[in-house]
Amino acid sequence: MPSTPRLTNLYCKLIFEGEEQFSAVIIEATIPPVVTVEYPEPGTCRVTLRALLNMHPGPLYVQDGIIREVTVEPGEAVVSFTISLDAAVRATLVVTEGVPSRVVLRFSRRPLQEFYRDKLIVLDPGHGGSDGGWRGPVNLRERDMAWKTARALAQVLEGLKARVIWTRAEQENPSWEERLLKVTTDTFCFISIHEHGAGDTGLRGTAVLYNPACRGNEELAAKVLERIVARVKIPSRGVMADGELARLGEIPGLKLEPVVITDWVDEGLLRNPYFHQKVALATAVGVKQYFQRGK
Amino acid sequence: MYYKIPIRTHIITENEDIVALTRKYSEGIAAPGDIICLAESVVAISQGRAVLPETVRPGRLARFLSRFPGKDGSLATPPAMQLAIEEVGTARILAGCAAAAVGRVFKKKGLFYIVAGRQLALIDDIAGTMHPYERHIVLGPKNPGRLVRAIKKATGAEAVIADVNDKGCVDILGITKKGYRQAVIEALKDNPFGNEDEQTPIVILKRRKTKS
Repeated sequence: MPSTPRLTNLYCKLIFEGEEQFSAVIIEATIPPVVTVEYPEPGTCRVTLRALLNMHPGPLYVQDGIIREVTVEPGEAVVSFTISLDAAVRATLVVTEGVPSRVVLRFSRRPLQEFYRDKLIVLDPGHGGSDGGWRGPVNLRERDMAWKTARALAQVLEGLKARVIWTRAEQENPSWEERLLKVTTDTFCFISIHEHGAGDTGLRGTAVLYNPACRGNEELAAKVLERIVARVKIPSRGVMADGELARLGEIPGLKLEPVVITDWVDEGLLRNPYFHQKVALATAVGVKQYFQRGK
Repeated sequence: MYYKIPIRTHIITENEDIVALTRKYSEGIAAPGDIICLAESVVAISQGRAVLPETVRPGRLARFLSRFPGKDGSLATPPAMQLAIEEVGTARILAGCAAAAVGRVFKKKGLFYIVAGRQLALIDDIAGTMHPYERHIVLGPKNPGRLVRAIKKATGAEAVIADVNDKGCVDILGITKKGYRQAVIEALKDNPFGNEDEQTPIVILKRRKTKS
């Protein structure tokens, strides 16, 4: 192995340790490099490694609610990584031996957990039972995909200490009135999950519908849409007011339409289990970013 | 036996020189005796084998046959089936279908690809490849054997082109030294190329030094 470390890989992942969650930036090298970590300003972490760069130095867009993005600046036998953060958290640093050696920076996800702790969120997977909703050109049904995304979202929210209530069980199809009965005065947010369908099989992309009776919900929908589109790299169909959600009154309400299931490509995306996880995480991050704006 | 070193690359696109890229990304790391592994889909993309479905006109046969394969696999859409027909010809596709029908009776899977051609198993249907190629159907790479020899010549290391999935299946399409085949399969089983946000289509298998 060459005596100068060569950087080969950069990625981020979530680490779960019991009740604790961490957002980790991991830099791989051929041998352990000399590392310095500094915080030039709150919300920015700069990591400098004495190493040569073999990997592509393009930015890494993370957007996991703690880490926004990582940019790479190659220098002369030195490489700097700037980590933009959504919260003023500091990392614990571990450098592992082995091939590849790993420089692991772990940022606590407590700010995200503190935001969601004990907040009541009503999840409403659309359709259900004998009502399959829209059908994709190959074989997927809106009912089943909405359920999958809702399950992923519940997992994310519960991991962040939120309280989650479902409007239906997997095989049920309650009416809209019955679904709204699950909403109580202490509901923080109502999130309904559907897929869009259209006769035009070329139409694709994500839309987020909002409760027009609740002030600021259009901006909330726009923030969630922005996060989903950035995370799953899919065209945007925009935000729209939804008459059904208006019945929530002052309670924030969203209807997610992650894809147009009648499009070949969008239906294909739904087969990927990571897609549902990404939509779920992006939604949780978007909601938090909206309610914490300016703080 | 080998350390695995995945290399993060840029998004490799059509008409890029995959041999030059491999040499650039493995410089200073891969040495004779090491093995440079490349993900087959990226090699195929660099060869211009990513096809937009709207440029394909599925015939009646493609539309009919696309109803039968497993819906989570390849060839579930008419354009992908049409490309499969164009790859190997109608006769081989129909022979493959007949074999698959026999296989269904005797509960034996995979006969379609054995008869119609293993290159069809390499077709990634719509949304089967990561962004920005999720709108494309990606065919298998051309001339993998010739390509691995060119990579060996350019880098001095052995070279492999492989199709790997998250279920632990490793298909070696081209390899410069056949004796390394089993070791490569073992090393790639956990899919170090990744199938998601990982952007590591090159993995260097670095030979571990044995302690004397």
